[in-house]
Amino acid sequence: MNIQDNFFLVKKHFLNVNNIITMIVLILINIIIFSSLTVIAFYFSFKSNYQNDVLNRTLIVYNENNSDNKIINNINNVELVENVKYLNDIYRDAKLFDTKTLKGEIILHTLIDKNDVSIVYGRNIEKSGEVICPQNFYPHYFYANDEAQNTKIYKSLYVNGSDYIGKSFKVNSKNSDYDNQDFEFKIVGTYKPLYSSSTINTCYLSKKDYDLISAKNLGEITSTLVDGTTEVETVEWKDLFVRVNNYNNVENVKKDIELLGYKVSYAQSYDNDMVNIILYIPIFIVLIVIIISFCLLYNFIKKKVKKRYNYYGLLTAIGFKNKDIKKMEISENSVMYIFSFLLSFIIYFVIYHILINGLFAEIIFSNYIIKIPGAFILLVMILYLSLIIIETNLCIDRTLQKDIRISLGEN
Amino acid sequence: MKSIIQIETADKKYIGKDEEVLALTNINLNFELGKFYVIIGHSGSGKSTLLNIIAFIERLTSGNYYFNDKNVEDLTKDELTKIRMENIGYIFQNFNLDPNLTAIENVMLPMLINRQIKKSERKEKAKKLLELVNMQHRVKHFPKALSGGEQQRVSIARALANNPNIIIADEPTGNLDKKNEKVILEILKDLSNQGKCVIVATHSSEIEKYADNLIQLEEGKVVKNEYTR
Ligand SMILES: Nc1ncnc2c1ncn2[C@@H]1O[C@H](COP(=O)(O)OP(=O)(O)O)[C@@H](O)[C@H]1O
Ligand SMILES: [Mg+2]
Repeated sequence: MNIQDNFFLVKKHFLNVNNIITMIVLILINIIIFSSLTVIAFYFSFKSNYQNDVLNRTLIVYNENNSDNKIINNINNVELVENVKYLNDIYRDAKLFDTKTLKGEIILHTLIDKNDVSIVYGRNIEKSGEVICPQNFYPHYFYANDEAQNTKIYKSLYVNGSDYIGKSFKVNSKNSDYDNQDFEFKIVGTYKPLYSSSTINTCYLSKKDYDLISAKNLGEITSTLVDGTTEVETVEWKDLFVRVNNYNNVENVKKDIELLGYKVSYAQSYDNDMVNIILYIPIFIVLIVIIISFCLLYNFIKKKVKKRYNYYGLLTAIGFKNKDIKKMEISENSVMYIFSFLLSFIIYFVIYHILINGLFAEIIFSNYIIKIPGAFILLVMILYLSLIIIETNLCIDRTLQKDIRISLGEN
Repeated sequence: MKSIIQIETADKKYIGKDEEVLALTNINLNFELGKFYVIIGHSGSGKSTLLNIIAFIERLTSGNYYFNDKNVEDLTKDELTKIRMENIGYIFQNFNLDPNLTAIENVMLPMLINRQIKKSERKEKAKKLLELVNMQHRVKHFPKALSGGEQQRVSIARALANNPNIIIADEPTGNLDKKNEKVILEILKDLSNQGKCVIVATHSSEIEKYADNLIQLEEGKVVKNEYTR
């Protein structure tokens, strides 16, 4: 039987209660699997981002005695030691980026190490008065650990950072030595963030420039915990921060510094057990759902084959080979799966976008991106299609082995 | 005339869980084209078994079956399926139409696996066959909308789809009233007059009148095999 005729029969037999119920069940199952896979994929991207994030290998050292940081610098695996003030963000209006609807605002952050960013266009900062901004740039207020504020981001207000290379903007100084003086900064390049603490409106400047425009004395370090709460600590500028070369060495370095008599805390920390739940629960759900759905599918196919027992007898009697019958049923079940797969993917896609643009918007715009795990989803489809082929083959083989006379409906 | 079907010293045994059933014993029969054969016998006498063997749906336990001089035992299942598709039209007591297909689609069903019939010719051919059984006015009806007699006529048209020279009918009128029985038998008789070998199993005495050759089975044995005309 050729493909066209095969699908002619598939079309004729497709619409029945059995198929429709199975499709609805499959759609539900698929959506659960897709969502769980998304969470699993997010876990891995979160984990790897987390470990690459410099803030997560940064320790705060309380330096009450105002001692020299050279000793700390010499500890194994310490990459650099700096004054803690350079971890601060400076929020400033920037007229250059004003639009009709929103004021221009950027965050200025000290570039601790040139390798903390990768340059997309232009070049890195080399001297005072230069900044680099994100290539995908949203130079407006959006979200700053400020619960009360609206976190909406207007997609249309994104700009190409590279369009601004060579342009300058003025920033007002809060340093009492300069008494409200404006300083001009020139954008010399655009960067791609390499770790999560940079946001869509963070521009980097040099340490020297930071000192020019920031307040001189006390500052605050705000850390956001995974559960969404923020912790604000007041820190004197004599305190230090230590960057460890690798996430895995953070614990050891912390101990080493503590042995020197310092009080040490993490710049950012998260609840490991809670994060692991992000992995284990969806894996558990996927496994359970896949096992259940395999059994369900098998039963569904078995039931259908049983129902069509007479029909197979007829087809055999008029000259259909077993191969033809199998081809017909495998096509029908595959078409059914592909239909439900497409439908569930569309529903999943819509839900995904609603959540991404709403509930999860804050997470998305940092480096912790929730992506559609396309490869995983395709794999699931292939898995189910193979399963359907195997199960259909099995059921039909078993059925056609039985006495054909009964299947011919004789009395 | 030469026989298209020759069955010699044939036995058919069914081996059940705790007993053996000898469904056919020492059968010697020949069938020729252009004749109307009627097989009679009580229920359980082996009529259906014999028809299924003739149609290669089941195989003999012992003995020989030559189809067109070819020994059926030497052919594979797929080869037999092909021969069946090209040579044998099967008609059932309960019609066995596909409820999802219209009358004409049901008639076209066997053509789907016949490479000899071009796709473009199928519809025309099916229409002609429905005309032959006087069903041209019900072409697009689904089986549900047809009476028993009409369904059996469609099923005869379907049996003729691949232009077989042998028509096998297992109690074709068992579910029909007298009037419809007559219509069906007339059609089958016509087919044998046109040169086909028609083999009908029945326990209706009405059909005996149509027979060129009457075969009576009793407990799996041929007890009567006579030319009636
Ligand atoms: N698959 C089978 N297994 C065991 N016995 C069978 C099987 N098929 C038929 N028989 C037996 O073979 C005998 C002949 O049956 P059948 O050919 O159907 O008779 P008829 O069609 O004349 O009523 C019966 O005794 C029946 O019970
Ligand atoms: Mg019978």
